Amino acid sequence: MILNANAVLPGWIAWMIIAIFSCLWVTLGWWLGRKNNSLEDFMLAGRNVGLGFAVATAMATWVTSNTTMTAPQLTYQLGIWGMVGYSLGAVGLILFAPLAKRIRNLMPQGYTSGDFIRLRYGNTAWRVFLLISLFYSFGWLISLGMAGGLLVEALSGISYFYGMSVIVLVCTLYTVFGGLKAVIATDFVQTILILLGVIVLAFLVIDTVGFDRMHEALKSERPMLLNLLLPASIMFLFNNLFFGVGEIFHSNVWWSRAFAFAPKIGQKAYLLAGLFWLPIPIVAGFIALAAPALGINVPSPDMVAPLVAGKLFGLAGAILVFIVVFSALASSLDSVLAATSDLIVKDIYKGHFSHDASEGQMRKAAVYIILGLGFLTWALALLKLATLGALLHFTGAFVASTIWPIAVGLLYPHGRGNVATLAMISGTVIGLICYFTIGFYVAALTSAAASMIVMIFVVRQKNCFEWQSLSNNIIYNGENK
Amino acid sequence: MPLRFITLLIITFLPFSAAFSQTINVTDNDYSAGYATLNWFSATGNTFELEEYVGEEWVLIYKGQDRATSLSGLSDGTYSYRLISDGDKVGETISFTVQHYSLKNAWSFFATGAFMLTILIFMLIRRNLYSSSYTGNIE
Repeated sequence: MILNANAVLPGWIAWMIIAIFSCLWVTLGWWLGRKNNSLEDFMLAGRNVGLGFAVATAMATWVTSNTTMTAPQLTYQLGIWGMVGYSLGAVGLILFAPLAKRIRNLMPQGYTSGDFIRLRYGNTAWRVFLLISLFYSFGWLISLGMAGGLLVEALSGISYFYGMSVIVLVCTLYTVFGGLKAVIATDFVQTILILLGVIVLAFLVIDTVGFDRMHEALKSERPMLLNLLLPASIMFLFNNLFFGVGEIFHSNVWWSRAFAFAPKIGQKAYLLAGLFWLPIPIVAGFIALAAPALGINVPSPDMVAPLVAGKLFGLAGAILVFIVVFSALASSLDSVLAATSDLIVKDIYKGHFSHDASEGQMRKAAVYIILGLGFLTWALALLKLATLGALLHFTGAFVASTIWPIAVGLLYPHGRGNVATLAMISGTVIGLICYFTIGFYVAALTSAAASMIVMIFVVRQKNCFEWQSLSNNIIYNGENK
Repeated sequence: MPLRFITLLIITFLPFSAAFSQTINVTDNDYSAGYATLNWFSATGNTFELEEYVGEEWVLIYKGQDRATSLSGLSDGTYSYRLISDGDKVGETISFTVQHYSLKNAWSFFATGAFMLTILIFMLIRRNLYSSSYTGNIE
């Protein structure tokens, strides 16, 4: 069923853009992949990424298709605070900056976030953490896959199935070829495209529609979107902040970068990336507010941004939005594929099934796992279970429960695994209850609050952890403890 | 809210339920936040008009070939909609009530978030400043 009967971008142009960028990314992935000589090269880009690429990859990975399509959706549903709340996702990057430095110092030979949880808190906490992390990763992958299909359908009328399938396939291929090096290099190019595109679009919206016209239309048709005291939006503000913090603190996407960046680069890179990222959701969300003034019908709230751009700027705008969102999508899909594969290879394949796996075996496993993840993403995205915003925020209850165990675990020697495990489980349960009884805009906040209350008991425990045990090379490359 | 959720599930999946005879369906809705998406996938026709009951008359809010529309920014109140397909009214009128959360509840969540953020920032700054004293000689 095609929702949008007024597609702006001719199908052949959409396919041409997809083909050109797909060839570019896959070729880049293959070319960079030739230089991967070891597992460390493939998974962590040789642990030597410089500041420029570090900032670009952190920023591009966090500018997802969700940023460019869900931020407008939430603005369209929750008003001004919807876009401001979404931009508070930058706080996660900024707060992770000192932790990135700490992670690099404590675990110079580490590979994954799972390594840290296993060594710091023990096997039970590690397994609970893996469940949360993998569930979140799948949620993110599916939302990215869906975004690709929705984008193509909204702008060109090409069926969701074809658009989504091609985009997932292309991203999977160049990640398989190039590993993290390809991911980071393509992120650099994608960052430039995203920044330029979003700035141009926002400027054109203001210039073409104007603040007054937007304000009048909103006031008459959707008055509550201008209300700074809209209760659901106020509840959303810190919920989205803690959702972002939970995503970044726990996800191997960010830990793998902390390991991959050259020494002393991580803190600066994450701080700068957070500051550069902060205005992007506001700009993207702002575009959605033009929809009532333009008389655009929005069949599904997650389509509002491409529909506005297409209506306002015709073919040129549709092409620009297409390139921006495709870049944002690709820059995140490859990162999540790579990082999730690392976690599965290291923590599940080697950690649970094949303790003596060699580097070569792990490298081979990584390829198969990336392909498998790509296929699962495609299959689950095909079902189109919910809108982008709803799907994403469902995972908030899970990830926010990990904030305090990770922060306390990295910064204090107190706290045993049983407390951390209880914090993650209770946070997740409370968050899910609130998700269904109140709404998605409180799930992460309540999850983090419940987790924090449990972790308070950690303060009473005596010092129990030796930091030195995190730096032993044998732990990561020898037998699993 | 849980009862509404379960009821919605039952209504959606029961074969002889009202949902299957309704032409207009409501999806992706949160009446406490003032938004909902209406769709009419099952309606036949080429041009559709969606009308909202405002005051004492039906007001056109959408006309075209799309099969869904998203509403948002709705204030507290009851909203009714009907669908016209190629000039003929089709299906039943659909109604729902928007009731926003109280500001008191909203500010409670806000305050909780602000408190947690303050604690987290304090922890990060304080422990980062004293990092050399607790990392041992890892550098």
